[in-house]
Amino acid sequence: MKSLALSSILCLRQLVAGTEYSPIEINFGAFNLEPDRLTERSGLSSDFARSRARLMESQVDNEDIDAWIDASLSNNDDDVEYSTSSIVGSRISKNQLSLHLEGGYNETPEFEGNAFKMNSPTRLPNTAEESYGNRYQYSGPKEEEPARLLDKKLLKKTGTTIAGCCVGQHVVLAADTRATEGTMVADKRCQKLHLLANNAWCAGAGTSADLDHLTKECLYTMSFQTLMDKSIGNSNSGEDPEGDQKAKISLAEDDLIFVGIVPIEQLCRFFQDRLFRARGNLGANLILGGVYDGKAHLRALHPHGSMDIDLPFTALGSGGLAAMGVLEEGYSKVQSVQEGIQLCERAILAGIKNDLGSGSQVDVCVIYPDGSSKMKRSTVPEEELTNEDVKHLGRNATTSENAQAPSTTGANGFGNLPFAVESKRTLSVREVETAQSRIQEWNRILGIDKTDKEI
Amino acid sequence: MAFRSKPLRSFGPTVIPHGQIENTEGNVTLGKIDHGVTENPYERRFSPYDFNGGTCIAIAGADYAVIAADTRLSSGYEILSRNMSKLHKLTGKCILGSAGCKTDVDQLRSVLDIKMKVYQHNHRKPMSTPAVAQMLGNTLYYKRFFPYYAFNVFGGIDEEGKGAIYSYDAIGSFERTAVTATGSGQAYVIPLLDNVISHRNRTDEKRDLPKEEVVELVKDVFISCGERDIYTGDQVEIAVITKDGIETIMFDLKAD
Repeated sequence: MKSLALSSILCLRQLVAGTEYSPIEINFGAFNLEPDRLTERSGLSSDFARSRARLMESQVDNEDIDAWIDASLSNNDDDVEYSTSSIVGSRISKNQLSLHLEGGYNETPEFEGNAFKMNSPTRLPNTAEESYGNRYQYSGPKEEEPARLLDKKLLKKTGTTIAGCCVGQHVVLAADTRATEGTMVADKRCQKLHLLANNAWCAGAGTSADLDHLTKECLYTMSFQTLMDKSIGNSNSGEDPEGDQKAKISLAEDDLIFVGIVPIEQLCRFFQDRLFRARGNLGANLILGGVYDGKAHLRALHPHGSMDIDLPFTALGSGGLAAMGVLEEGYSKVQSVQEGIQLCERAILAGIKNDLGSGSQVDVCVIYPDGSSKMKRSTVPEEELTNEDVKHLGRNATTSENAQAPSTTGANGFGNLPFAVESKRTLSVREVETAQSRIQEWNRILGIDKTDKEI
Repeated sequence: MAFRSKPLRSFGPTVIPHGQIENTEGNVTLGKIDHGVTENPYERRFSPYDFNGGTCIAIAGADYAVIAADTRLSSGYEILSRNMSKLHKLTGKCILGSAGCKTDVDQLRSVLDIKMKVYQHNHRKPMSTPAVAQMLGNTLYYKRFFPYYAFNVFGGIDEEGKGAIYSYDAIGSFERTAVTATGSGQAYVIPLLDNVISHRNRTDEKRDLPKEEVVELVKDVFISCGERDIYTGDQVEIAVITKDGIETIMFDLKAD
């Protein structure tokens, strides 16, 4: 079965290679669901209904949002995203993929030649396969891996923060990137947002293995179904060439998957079936978000197979309580997709800072009304991950005054300091400022700095 | 059922040192540094201990001693404080750094302070560093059967002016070493310090490190430790002890 699917994909790739596609414009002004009908049909809370109504009335333009997302979520030209769009999915080059997976605002070129990188567990992946398998990699040598995994208590779990919200016809999902084994951080940059179908993503919290396998199985099942529906001999084949183009998603170089638009109910049924049959032994908490038939869906699935439907917003994981507080407070004020994205980012940041099981960076995914989507890794700058409330107790004396120019901060700590022990002074950003303000204060007391104001 | 090795219920003391938890699966999570709090809590016997996290390290030099500890206080997955010091000055020449259960650490510090005052009254001089080290070991062993859940490192300048650091276990066994670490990040840090300071498993020439370099190394060590240990982070408090006094440096870590 799998080989049939693969060979179909390969055939399709050969067919489409080298051709150009023009963007297909989709008009979404035509939906006229009224707030009253929404409320009585699904029993939604009033503020959700009101916000949905407000947003569906406003003219939300995909291109504007795209431009804003590109501008605000990334200040690095090399940053890339996974996007399934109405044109053929973007090809991601190998270099870009490497940068992307390590990505973030502090990826500076001068550390690429760093010897430390060789032994770092977060080394850049060399192949697409490796990059997708990074959640399975233990940070030590591979030979040790089987022995540790036999100890059930040390299963890699994602003590996690995941959050999602609906903004009109858009769905925004966000997640942190830390995977823990007990009290150790096993993966600082794992990916918790999984593609399920052309129009649906999910964020997963719980046991890493269960989540990875379940979501991959879902993706490939939907892909296989799409292929079967469109295969030669099927009465529907050849009727929807635009749909075929939309269905091609490039997840990485040399890795093209063909999956179409799938009803959300079908995806939920897939998960619920497997989770219930496993009697709760699969540790998978999912926030499933997608757009089907013009309607945005956000659903939460739990390990025993239960599902929460028609959610305006939700948060799961060990940091879910922290995130939920932020979402509850801020959701009623959300008026646009951009604000929804910022709200989800803030929710994940709350989890990252206050929950020890969550950390590192924030990944965000937006699903548009036409079913296309965009996922960005590492959307929050490093400087925002430190806690500004930590007070210095005024004990900032340092040993040597013949310090060299302060180099990069210690507060991001992604191994960008060369390991060799040299007499190089590293200061945190605030230490520099405090040192400077102390010098200025002394100059003022001694009367050395004469400004125009002083006489 | 035949092969389930469930320990028999014993009628010994109701308090259990070092976090033995028996959950409904019949497993006993012995010796977990975090007391098993990050696992699913099914049924637990009441435990008088909690593990509040953190890492302390100490390095001895020819004429200095460096003690450093992070400032995060946590319990389970929560952060209780980002600014709680783990270092305690005992005399002008020695500092005690402790990780473990905060309440036991506080009590231990109080007991030591009182004993040192008594000594000073009786001998008309402050205690020397090796004497304090021995006293700390004795104090811990007094509570051999209901221990202080405190993992200590103790460092200072000895009578000859050399750096002296001592590492302890929870019930008072101690040893003077060149390098030590304790707490939740111990396993990440000790191999690194062994390699760089004690020069183990290295082929290049050993050289003496001045205290400025050691301070920079300590910062690097805590950055790495903070990356992989969830209980280490926020800030590092580094104390450098020389015969001229104690100097403290604060350094920021990630807050996630």
